[in-house]
Amino acid sequence: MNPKTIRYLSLILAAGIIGFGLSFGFLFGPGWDANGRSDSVWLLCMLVTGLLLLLAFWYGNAPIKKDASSQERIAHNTQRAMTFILAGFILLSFQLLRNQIVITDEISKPYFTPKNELVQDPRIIRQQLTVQRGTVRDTFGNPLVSIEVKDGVVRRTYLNPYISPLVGYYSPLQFGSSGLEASYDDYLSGRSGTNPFVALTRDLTHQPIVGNDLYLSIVPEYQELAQQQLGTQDGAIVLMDAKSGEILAMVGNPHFDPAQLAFDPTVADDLWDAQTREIQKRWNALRDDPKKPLLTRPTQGLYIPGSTFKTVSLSTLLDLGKANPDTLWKDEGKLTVDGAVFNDPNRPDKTRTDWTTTEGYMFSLNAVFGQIGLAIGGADELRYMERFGFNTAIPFDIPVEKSRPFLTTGFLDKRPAQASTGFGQGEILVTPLHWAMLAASFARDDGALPKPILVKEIRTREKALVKATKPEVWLKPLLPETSKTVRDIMIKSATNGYVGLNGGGLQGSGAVVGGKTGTAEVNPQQGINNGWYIAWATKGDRAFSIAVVIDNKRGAEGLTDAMPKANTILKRVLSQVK
Amino acid sequence: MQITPSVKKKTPLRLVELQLLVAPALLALIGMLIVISVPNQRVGWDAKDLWMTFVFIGLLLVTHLVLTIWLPRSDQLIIPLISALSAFGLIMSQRLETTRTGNIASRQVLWVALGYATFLIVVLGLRNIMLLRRYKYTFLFLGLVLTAAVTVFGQEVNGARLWFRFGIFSFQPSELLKVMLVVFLAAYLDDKREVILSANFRLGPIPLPPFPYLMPMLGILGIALLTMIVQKELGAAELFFGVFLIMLFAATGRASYIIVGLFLFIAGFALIYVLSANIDQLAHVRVRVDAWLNPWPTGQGRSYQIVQALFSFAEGGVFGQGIGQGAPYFIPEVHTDYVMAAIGEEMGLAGALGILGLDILLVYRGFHIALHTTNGFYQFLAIGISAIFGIQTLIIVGGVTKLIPLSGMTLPFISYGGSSILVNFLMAGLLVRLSLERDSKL
Repeated sequence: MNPKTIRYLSLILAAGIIGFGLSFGFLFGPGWDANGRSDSVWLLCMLVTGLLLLLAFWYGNAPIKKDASSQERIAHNTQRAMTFILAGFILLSFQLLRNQIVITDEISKPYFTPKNELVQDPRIIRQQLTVQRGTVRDTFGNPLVSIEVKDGVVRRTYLNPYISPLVGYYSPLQFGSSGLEASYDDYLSGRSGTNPFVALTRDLTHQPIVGNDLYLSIVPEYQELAQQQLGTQDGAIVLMDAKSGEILAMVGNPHFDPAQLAFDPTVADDLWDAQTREIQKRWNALRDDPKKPLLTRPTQGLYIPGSTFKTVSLSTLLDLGKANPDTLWKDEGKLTVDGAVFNDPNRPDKTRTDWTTTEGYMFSLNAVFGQIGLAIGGADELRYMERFGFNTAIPFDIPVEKSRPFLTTGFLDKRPAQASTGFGQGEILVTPLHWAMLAASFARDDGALPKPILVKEIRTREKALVKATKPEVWLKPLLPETSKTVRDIMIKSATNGYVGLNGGGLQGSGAVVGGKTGTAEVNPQQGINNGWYIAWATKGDRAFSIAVVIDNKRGAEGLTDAMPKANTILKRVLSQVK
Repeated sequence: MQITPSVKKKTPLRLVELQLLVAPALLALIGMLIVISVPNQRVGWDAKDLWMTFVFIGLLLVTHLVLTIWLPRSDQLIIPLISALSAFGLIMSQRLETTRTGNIASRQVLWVALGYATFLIVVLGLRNIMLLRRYKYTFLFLGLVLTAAVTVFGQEVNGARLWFRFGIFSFQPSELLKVMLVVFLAAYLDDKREVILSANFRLGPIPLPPFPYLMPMLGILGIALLTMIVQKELGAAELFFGVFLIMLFAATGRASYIIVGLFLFIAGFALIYVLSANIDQLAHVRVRVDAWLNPWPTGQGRSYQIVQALFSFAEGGVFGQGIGQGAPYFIPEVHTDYVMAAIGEEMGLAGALGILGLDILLVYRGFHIALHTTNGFYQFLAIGISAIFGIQTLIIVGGVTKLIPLSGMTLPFISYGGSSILVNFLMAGLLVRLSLERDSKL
């Protein structure tokens, strides 16, 4: 072959192999394990490239003449020897290129050795500790998280134990983060929302990164009141501004305080490990606790809705036009569907057997709503539940669970299941947040479920607005007239129904109130129930909604356990509305 | 016998050198100013500490003037090149000084000053390089005795037994050994070149030199591998052997020697690696090779250093974090073997490639001098010295970038370290001296 051809061929081949190695060097390790970080393929590429370079240089020199003198031969050899070293320097340059540009993202990620030790760039860890992460503030702008800088390292302290569970923990070195700390990490850490010019200036002058602040819709007074109402009882309370969807209070039990997981990086180096172990211990306890305190109950807790679900059944029935509020239903204290017997102890008058739809709702008659469930039918029950947001993740600022229409597929095909779903037992599971939104929809003129808002605004440390959340509608499940009819029936429930007869109407508060209690059997053998109450109240141009669930309590009743707590909170809220 | 030219040539001013020396002078000055101005530094540098830079600039001027007066026709590129590299070394030693390293910056200035002195002594004092040739066996013998002595009496540092310690200074004989070995090889190859080439014993397709002349070469291979085992140090062995192969090739032009030599070396290395599983004496080889193939699983243990170096390089990117702005302290021994990682972090790919560029220019200039000398010994000596600069850079930079298994070596003129700097300047002096032995026809 022509030396020139060999030379160019080997150079082209070498370029190809280097290109391949640079693109895929980390991907093809033994076992195809991306986390293996083996360099074998790349090193092999370099070896082959080196040999090809030598070949190219070898044929790059003009061949020596046959009759060359000893002096000329040595000169020729010397030039060739030089190319050996040159080839080595070329390989070095590629190695530097790879180390400094190509694989930087890959090796900045945490790597865990077989012994589960973390291997990560200490600068990245250090940088995470020096980022002056944004704080979180309540609706009035009071800080819920404080930041203290010592020797460039930032200590993060959680100030309000009532709101902290929503803020979540932030533990970059140990467990990652949760709650708002996780979902708004981009803004808090300053990656998003910072003026690019300011960010570049800070980067070039090696100033610490400053994050943006979150302004929540939470009113600390209501949050504290709600938590006090709940006490140590399992359950959750969500209070919402029905017009804007802003969450004013959101508490749940069991919960945890992220302050106990907050790492203090400003401690002396010798206390560092002890602190890490201590926090690890607390974390393990939280993680292994069978009551799962790490779950945010108001958004991730799933509860059987009981009679509060009758609101959905009623809406479905009226929206489908299968009956009207004055339609009469038979209720003789029990309902038998295909051999399954459902008792109805709720009739205020045990001798009366004919009840209207409205009365069925006001007095929470299971037999009536069992028949309503049958009248709607399984397919439409499911269809309307989905229109109300079941099986869909609510768009929210912290993780949510989807409310479930049933747990076993095909459950609603059976008539007894259709009946029990009609009055809210069945296999339905809902989140307190979802139910607060449901109540809110009937306080609104448009009958829509508002999109819930927890983070109202994001601002820079200097209070410049980065992003404001606008109120939005999430779902509009009903015709406007159906929504108005249901609203009126809810008002009747809160005036003349069981709710109203027990003080749910909030006389003297000056508000229009609609509400529905519910009691769900969790463990009938031991008499353990869920007590529910959902309500809305409008006063002036304000509208509020609330959902209260009392979980896992022996003999719990919505009327006696959940509703008084909601009333206390609503009274306080309404008293502050002009 | 020298013929005095009838027309006396005007003594040339070394203007090329003077112009080129502006770069290292400015480099040292600006570098030190940056080191002083960095906030949050570990050592409180202030303007008084600029004396180091001015001493360095003074050294450049003195060297330049001495050469202009006494040896105006000597090479004008070597001094600017090694000065630029030394300027980098000075900046890095200032940058990397901490309470733990001690006052490495002022010591580095002292060593560089002694280096320039050594350089001038060699250039001015060594009137007859042929003297070196006459005592080639003496050099070989001395070198071997030194190696043996350090093996027996030396002090073990970081697992390798390489140093003699005199009071506060320690001395690394293998640094001197490499010069002695190059002198010996240059003389030996110049003597025996014809014989090695003429006879053609063949082992299959491979032409072999006659047996008696093969022995010294096999001996050197053996010594290289032995030092690796006994002194627990791979770098020196690789360097000796690499330089030997380059010089052998320059003398004979036979690629087969190189291929066979490399094959034997790699086979020997592989054998040691295989044996190291069972022999504790060889465990250091296994550690190095494993850390090279995949350092991550032992990244918190045995491979900590190389993994930290990889983080340093990755942190640097194209233009680096800026002098004093990075955090190379995470790498143990960063100021000696791992100085390239610190340069990569703070000066980026641009800075690292710049250093490699200076090195390759230095090697090229050395080979250039070799091509223009008047006899074989000079030629092989210049080739050997240049090859030392080149291969040493390849070994240490390849090691810290994880291209090859790591072996402890200094980065010529940049790493902190007394004996290494002195010997580097000594070799540079030999090169400049050799540049005077120019064939006027060429």
